[in-house]
Amino acid sequence: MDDEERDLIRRAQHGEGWAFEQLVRRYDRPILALARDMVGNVSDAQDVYQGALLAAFLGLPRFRMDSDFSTWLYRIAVNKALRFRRQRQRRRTQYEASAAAPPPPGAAVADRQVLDVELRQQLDLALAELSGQERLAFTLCHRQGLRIDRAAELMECSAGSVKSYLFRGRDKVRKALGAYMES
Amino acid sequence: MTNRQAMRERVLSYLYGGLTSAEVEAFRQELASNAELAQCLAAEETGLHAHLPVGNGLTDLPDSLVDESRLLLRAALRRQVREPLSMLSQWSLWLGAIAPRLIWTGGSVALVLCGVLLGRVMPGPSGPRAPALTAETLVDVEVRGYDAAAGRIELELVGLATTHVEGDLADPQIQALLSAALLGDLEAGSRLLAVDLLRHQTASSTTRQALTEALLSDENPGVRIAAAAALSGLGADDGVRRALQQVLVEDDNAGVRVAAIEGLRNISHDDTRDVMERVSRFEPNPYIRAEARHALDVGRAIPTHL
Repeated sequence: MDDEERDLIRRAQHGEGWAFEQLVRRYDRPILALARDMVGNVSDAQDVYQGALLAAFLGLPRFRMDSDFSTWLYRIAVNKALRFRRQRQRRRTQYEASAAAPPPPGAAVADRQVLDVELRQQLDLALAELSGQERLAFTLCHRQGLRIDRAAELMECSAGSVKSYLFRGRDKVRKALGAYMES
Repeated sequence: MTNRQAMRERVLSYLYGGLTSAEVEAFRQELASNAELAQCLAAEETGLHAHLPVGNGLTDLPDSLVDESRLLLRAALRRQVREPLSMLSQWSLWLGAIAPRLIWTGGSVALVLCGVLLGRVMPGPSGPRAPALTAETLVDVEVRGYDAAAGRIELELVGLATTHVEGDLADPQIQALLSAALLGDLEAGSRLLAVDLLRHQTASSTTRQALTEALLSDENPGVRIAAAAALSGLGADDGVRRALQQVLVEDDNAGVRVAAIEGLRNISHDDTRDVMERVSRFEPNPYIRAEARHALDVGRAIPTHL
C-alpha cells in the first residue's frame, strides 16, 4: 500500500466520498468484471458492484491499515456476489423461473462492442451450470487471471481446494462451450 | 489418479500459476524432453484458452459500462454523504485540477507581480482593494481559500491582471464570478468545485441559471450530476423544473438521469408527474424505471438498491 493510498483511505474513513471514489477507481474494474461473471448479466452486476462498494464505504472506518486494501475490497465483492446468487436462487425457486434465462437485451448491447455476443451468451449459460465455488474459482483464476494462492486467500480456503473447484469448473465450461469452439 | 490425469493437473497448475518458481523451472525444462507433456500443454492452450484467454475477463468489459457504473456509484455515494467537502478536500481537488495549468500561468504570474511592484513605487490615488472584473474579461477564477463555517471565500481572478477578491459566498459579485468559473473553466474538477460552492446559494436567480446551464450542457457527467443535486427541490422555478425534466428524458448518462429523479422527487406539478410516469414505463434502464416508479408512489423514496 503506497502513501497516496493510505492518505485516500484516511480521508475516505472520515466520510469524504470523493476520496473513496479515487481509491476504488484503482480496483473497481476487476470488481465489476467479477460481478459480471458471477451473476451473469450487466444490470445485476452493477447492483452487486454498487452494493459492494457502498458496503466498503460504510465499513471503511473499521478497516485496519495493516491489511491489504485490495484484498479487503475484493472479499467484500466476493461475498456480495455469492450472497446475490443465493438470493436469486431462492427467488427463482420461489417463482419457478428458468435458471438459464437469457440476459436482458441491454446486457447484450453493452457487451457487443468488445466480446462476441454469442460467446458471451454461451459463457453465461456455461457459468450458470457451475456451483458457486466452482464459478468463483473459475472467475478469479481464469477470467481475472489471479494466481491460485491469491484466489485461495480471497476464497478463504486452501490452494488445493481452489485447484479442485477450478479444474472441475473449467472442465464443465469447456464441455459446455465445446460445440461453439468447434464451430 | 492415473499418470495422464496427474500430468494434466500439473499442466493446469502451470497455466494458472499454481506452481512454485522451482516447479515452474522444472516444468519448462521437462517440456523440452517430454513430448507427451508438451502435447498435453498444447492441447490445453489451444482449446478453452484460445477462445477465452486467461485474464480476458478484465479487458472484455466495455469502458462505457465501467464509466456508467462509476457514475451510478457516485450518485449513491452522494446520498450517503450529505456533508460539504472539508477544506482539505477542496484544496486537494482544486490543486489536482489546476496542477498542469500552474506551469503555464507561472510565467504570467511573475510578470503580473513585476507590474504590481512597479505600480506600488509609482505615485497615484489609492483605489479599491479588488477592482471588479467583468465575466467578459475574466480568463480564470481560482479559489484560494474558503471558510465553510463563516461562508467566506477568497478568489484569485485572472484576467487582464491577476487580482484577489475576498467576500461572502452570498455576495452577488462572488456568485457571478463562481458562475463564470462554472460555465467557462476548462477543468471538470474546477467546474465541480464551483457547483459545490454554489449549491447553497440557489436563492439567487443568476446562480440557478448558471447551474441549470451546467446541467443541460456541461460535457462532464459528474458536473451534470452535481448540478442536478444542487438544483434538487427547486421546481418552483420553471426553468429549473424543465431542465431537470429534460435531462431525465434526454441525457445519455444514467447517473445524470438518476440525479434528475432525485431532483424532481418532491415536485408535485402535473407536468413532472407526466414525465416521471413516462420514465417509469419507457426508460430502458430497469433501475431508473424502478426509481421513477418509487418516486411516483411515495414522493420521497429510499433508493431501491440499498
